[in-house]
Amino acid sequence: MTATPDDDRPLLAIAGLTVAFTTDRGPVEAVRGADLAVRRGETVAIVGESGSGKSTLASAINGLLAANGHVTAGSIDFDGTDLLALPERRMNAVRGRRIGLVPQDPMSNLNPLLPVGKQISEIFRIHGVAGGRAARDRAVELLDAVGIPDPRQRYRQYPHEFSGGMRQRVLIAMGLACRPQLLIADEPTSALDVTVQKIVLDLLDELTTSMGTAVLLVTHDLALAAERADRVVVMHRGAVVESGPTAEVLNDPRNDYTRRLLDAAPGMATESLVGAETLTDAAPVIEVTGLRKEYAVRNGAFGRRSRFAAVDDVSFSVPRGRTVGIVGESGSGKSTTAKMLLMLEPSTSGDIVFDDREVTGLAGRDLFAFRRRVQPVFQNPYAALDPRYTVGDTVREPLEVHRIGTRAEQDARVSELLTQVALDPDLADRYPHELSGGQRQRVAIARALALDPEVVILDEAVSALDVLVQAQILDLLVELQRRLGLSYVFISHDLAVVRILCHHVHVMKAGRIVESGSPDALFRDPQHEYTKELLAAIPVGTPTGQGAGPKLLT
Amino acid sequence: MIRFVAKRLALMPLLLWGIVTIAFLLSHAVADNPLASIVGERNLGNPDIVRAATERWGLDKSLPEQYFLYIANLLQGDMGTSFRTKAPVGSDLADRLPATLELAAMALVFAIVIGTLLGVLAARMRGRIVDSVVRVLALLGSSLPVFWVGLIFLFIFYASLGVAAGPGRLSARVIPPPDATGFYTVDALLAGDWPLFVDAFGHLLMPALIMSLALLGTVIRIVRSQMLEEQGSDYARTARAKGMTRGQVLNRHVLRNAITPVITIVGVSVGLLIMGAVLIETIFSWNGIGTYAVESSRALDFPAITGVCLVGGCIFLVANLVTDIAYAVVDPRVRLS
Repeated sequence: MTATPDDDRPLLAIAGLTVAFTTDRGPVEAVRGADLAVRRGETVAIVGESGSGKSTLASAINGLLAANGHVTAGSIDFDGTDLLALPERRMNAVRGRRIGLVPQDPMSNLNPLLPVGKQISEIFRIHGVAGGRAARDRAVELLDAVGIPDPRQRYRQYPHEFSGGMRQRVLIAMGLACRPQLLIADEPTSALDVTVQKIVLDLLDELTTSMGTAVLLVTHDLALAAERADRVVVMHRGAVVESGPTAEVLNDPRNDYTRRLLDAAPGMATESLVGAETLTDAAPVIEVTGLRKEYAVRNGAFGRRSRFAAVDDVSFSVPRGRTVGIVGESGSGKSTTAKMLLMLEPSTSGDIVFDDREVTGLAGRDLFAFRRRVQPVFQNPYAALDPRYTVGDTVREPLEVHRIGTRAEQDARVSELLTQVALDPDLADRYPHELSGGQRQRVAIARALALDPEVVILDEAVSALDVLVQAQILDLLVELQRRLGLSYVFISHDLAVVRILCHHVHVMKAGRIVESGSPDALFRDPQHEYTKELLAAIPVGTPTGQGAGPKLLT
Repeated sequence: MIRFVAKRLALMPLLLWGIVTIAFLLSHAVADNPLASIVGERNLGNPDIVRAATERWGLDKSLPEQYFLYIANLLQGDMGTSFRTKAPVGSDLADRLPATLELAAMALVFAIVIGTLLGVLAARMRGRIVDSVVRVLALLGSSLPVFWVGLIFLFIFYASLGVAAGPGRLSARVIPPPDATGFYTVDALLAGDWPLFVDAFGHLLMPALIMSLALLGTVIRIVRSQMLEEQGSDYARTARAKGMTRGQVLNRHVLRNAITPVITIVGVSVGLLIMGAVLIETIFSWNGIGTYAVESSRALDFPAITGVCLVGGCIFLVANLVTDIAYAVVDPRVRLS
């Protein structure tokens, strides 16, 4: 992954690139005057938040902008060829053969109706590299190279028969099939669990290094960029605001935006937002004992039914006014636990005691009263709000359902709640689509607070947000807890966030709690193998082959 | 898969029993008496004839008795005797069914083939004049009443221009082929009679096209919108990044994904198509189940009406089963269970 110094002409040179999208409201510039260079064999990361133009810039390189997008100024020089002047037919010969792509979402980027092997071998056929049996054999070799066991068998299987991580490996095999000079990796691992992410990135590193392929890594994750890239390019609102060697940019950011981005990203050394209170300092508001949830599943072609335990013998307690974190990867049972705590899903067995009262099996009026005291905030701020309700309607609805106050009192309460989550009360008349992701999540929090709950269950509540917005929401949550004495159950896959927000943490794997403790103790001295694995997988922001550690660690 | 088909087939008698029961009850709920069609208007005044007929056809029995008798006969394969034709309903239906099936099959071919072609064409020419024309045609196909289009087409292409064949399954004075399958086109080919095939095929074209219009319009719109949607999907873009041309991506990746929903639509539409046969067959003097249903209803011919319902139900259930199987064959993600 080091640049070859003997060839100073870059492999890819982008100068003054401007990309505009034609929209109903006139042209919108998604990329403005961007400069970028990638030398042979090196890895360059484009870092930015959603909407910064980083993906648009990447798409412009291989000429796959959306139909309403156009390059309005600038040049893209690839190995001496002006890509913008290349006719479509010759561009087709560049794509896939000399510039590979590893796209973001492994679920949607494979054709569901074609076997994965054919989706790889067709690349050889299109470019006339190999055909028939030879193409097939090479695809099998590639599947083997990206670490897919039984490649000959797997060649014939369909995408839905692969896990997310395995599909991402297939996409890597596709991107690297023709040993391209440049690989564009657009958020190649953001849809994957952290342990899988590490494996996939290591594999990508290894393969591109052995092929001498340069990588343009598009990511929102600064720590990941720091760990993987030789050089970093920071984009903000369509413009490149800073670029340079990774260590330089991260240790000594010149640009104000880069600095804010670095400060906001929680690392494994960032100071906790909640201080070092211990578990024993308050009486529990929720006590869970031996909680279990089973689902019936069908196995194999004969459809034999069996029981699968999504949550298996889980016990923990939530002290009043504290935050208890549950971390785990997808399928660990953390969200199922949340649903059972919220009484949205019945438990198979076990007890949930809320405020000294058994609540499993509550119904009717008792359940209604319970709902007033335990409220949820979910992950996706776009899906969690009814698009036909104004912000005011959304926040007022719980008050209406529980018949609290007159209309005027409710209006006053809505304003108060919006102020509490640092939103302008005038926003009450707006609809969700007029708000940003962060604003929407504030609305969801205001709605959860409307009934003065004692416990708020936060299920991946900040995971869909950009790092700057995430930092603001985390601060808000901590402030609300102090002010209102709220107890939180904070469910997340992100260990860094859990570390700074929680008083006590439980690590879940395959339905069970494998390790518990204060975040400090747990992350400094993990006992369980799985916790160690999780921690090791987190990109810590140490650039490879660089001297001093970057600012992220300080 | 075999398990699934067996399960569905095992369920069919139950569903058919339901259909028969409802059809039986509905046709008996009509207040009118079918005697007039059995003995004829003139004999209604003759109490002896009326009594004899009432006994002969079991109309003096109570409704439950009639019902159980019907079911018992049905289980032995006897669908009763038509009041009107005085022939077994089973053989009446066997005579008429091939004509309707031949027409419906042709209509299905039109809807699927022409619909898919035009849908793909419109998607590829999006925003251009071809696209607009196809979309207007699709809209007209779905919204114009069939009987009206049928008459207009007959008037223009048969009566005025003389380019299309007229009503009926064959031209006047042409003798039908020897009965093997009941499909005139197939039987003509089996008999090696080419001119007869051309005549039968020619007569099939216009009614089949008109019968397919509504479904055709739907298929065009679905294929077009699915093509456009799938073209914008992530896997299509990834395929472009491999170096495929737009055309290659369409043919190899997009098309198959775009036409899978058509299977569902066509499957559930087979029932509607058979229903539409009533109008089409009346206009084109097509001696099929549709005309049989109309004539039987007019005569309050209970056994015949129930028989038509039973056959319709069978076709519908089989079509649904075939749809589910076809879907599983095309889409590997679908597991039949």
